[in-house]
Amino acid sequence: MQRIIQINIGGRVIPIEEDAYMALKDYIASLERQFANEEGKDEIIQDIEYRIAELFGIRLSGGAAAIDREDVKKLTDTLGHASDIGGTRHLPVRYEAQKQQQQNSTRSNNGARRLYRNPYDKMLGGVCGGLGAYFDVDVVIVRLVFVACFFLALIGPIAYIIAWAIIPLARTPEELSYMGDGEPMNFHDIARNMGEELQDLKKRGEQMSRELRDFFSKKK
Amino acid sequence: MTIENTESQMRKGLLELCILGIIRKEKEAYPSDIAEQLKLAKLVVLEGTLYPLLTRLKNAGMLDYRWEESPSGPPRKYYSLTGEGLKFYTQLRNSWEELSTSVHHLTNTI
Repeated sequence: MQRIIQINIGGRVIPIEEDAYMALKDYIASLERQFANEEGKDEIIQDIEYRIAELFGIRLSGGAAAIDREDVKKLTDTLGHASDIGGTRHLPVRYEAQKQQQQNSTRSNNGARRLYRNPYDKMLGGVCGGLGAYFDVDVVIVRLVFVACFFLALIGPIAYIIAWAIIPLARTPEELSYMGDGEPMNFHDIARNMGEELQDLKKRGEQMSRELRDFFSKKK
Repeated sequence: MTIENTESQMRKGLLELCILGIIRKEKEAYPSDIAEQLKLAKLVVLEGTLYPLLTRLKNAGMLDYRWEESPSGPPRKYYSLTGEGLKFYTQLRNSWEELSTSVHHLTNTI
């Protein structure tokens, strides 16, 4: 069973079976792609549509009730497929066929899974949703891992900046020599040093706040 | 590299000359008439090839056209040569004569 629809092509109304219409539409779309960069594209397509209307008109006046797939096939054989009629500035003949193949292979997909961002399960960009679906892991877990990574990554730079602020710079040759020489540290030394350092830090903090106070009061 | 490919390149290169020749002879020609004439001369081309070629030649000022009502369908475009088109044709025609003499000479002697 076929539904017959009416189309207007080249200013003519033509009755055509539905699947024949789809084939014709594909054909004209392929021509449009073929001539996309051509200056006279619209005119070329129009000329071809006029010719199609004429050929269909002859077919209908020959007694056919509607254009069917066979007629469209005959038409495309007469006029030529898009890739074959590009003229002098044409693409390689097999271009269309290759493209078709590529499209088909993507659609059938051979059962391979693909990674995409998931537009229906997303907080920001759908990355975690996509990864979760791809690796078959609960999205919540993926999100937690990402959040943890985010904070862990922040610890490094912050710790470095704090260390930069509190560890004094070796300024004298003596201090430089203390840096690597001397007794290796044991736990007690470390604890004692930490105590001294903290005392020192406290002193420096107090000094800093005094300076800041002076600075601001001077400004006023 | 296939024989079909090379042959089709040859035909494509000469198609403009042949189309202009047909239009010159007929004074005015409709694309499917041109296709018919080419077929009669055993130069088989797909009819669709003619439309972009004719449009390019027309946009380059080689051809002119007028619409004519047709009893069997939409109006038809009848193409004719312009003065420039005639010059272009004569030049192409001469180049072809020279070229074919050279090719003939070369392929016969080697």
